[in-house]
Amino acid sequence: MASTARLGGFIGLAGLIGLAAAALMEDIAKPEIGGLTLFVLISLSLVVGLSTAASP
Amino acid sequence: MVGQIGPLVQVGRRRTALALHILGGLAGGATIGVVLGFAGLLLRAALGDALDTVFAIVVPLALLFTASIDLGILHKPNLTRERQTPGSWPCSLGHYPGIFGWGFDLGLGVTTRIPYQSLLVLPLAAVLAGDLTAAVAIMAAYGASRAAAVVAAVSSVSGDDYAAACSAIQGRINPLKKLVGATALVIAALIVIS
Repeated sequence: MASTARLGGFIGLAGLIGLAAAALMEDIAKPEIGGLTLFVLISLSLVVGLSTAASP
Repeated sequence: MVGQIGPLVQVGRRRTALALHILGGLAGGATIGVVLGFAGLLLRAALGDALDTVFAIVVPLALLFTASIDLGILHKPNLTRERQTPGSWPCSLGHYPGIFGWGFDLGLGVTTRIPYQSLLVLPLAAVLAGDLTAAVAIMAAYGASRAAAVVAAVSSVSGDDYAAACSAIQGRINPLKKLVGATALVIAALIVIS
């Protein structure tokens, strides 16, 4: 049985690393769509991706 | 995926297998990001700055639509594919290449079943961004995080009861759907005001 706290910890840590990478990316890439827009889209990527552990 | 990869990582070196799975997800996301990014560059060349206006209108509207499905407000059949990653890959490709391949396949995003319709906005946004780096960043973040979620789930299993872990995660799909839908709505609002 999965430990919810452990799973939550892993997911939270992965999310934090992703958000830090997104913030770094925003500075480096200077995207056409704007830094904030890129940051929020990467955040959506992280939320959708991290929510799919059991999907085949 | 948790039910499949869980028993497999018991056979070989667990950390190597899980790292390869994340690497596969990152590679899959980055690969589709490059393809979508080039499509976006073509659109940028054709439309110029008008593409930014298209992005600012289409992406929030798409987020609104898919979030309504995820939140259960709109009842539409799933728009995403029903295909699953082939369970035979570790046999046909080899143990580690198969686990990498699973990550790659999941990282592509659009080739396998996913319960959240808001996912579909990611490739759309990657194209309409008209920027190769942004497209790769969006899709690679998705690919890596989807594979990382599998690794997190496998790592959190005590013993080898992967089927029970899988059932527990499946039981959380509906609340997670609402979370993804709500996040998509917030992101639509942030794009509009940014």
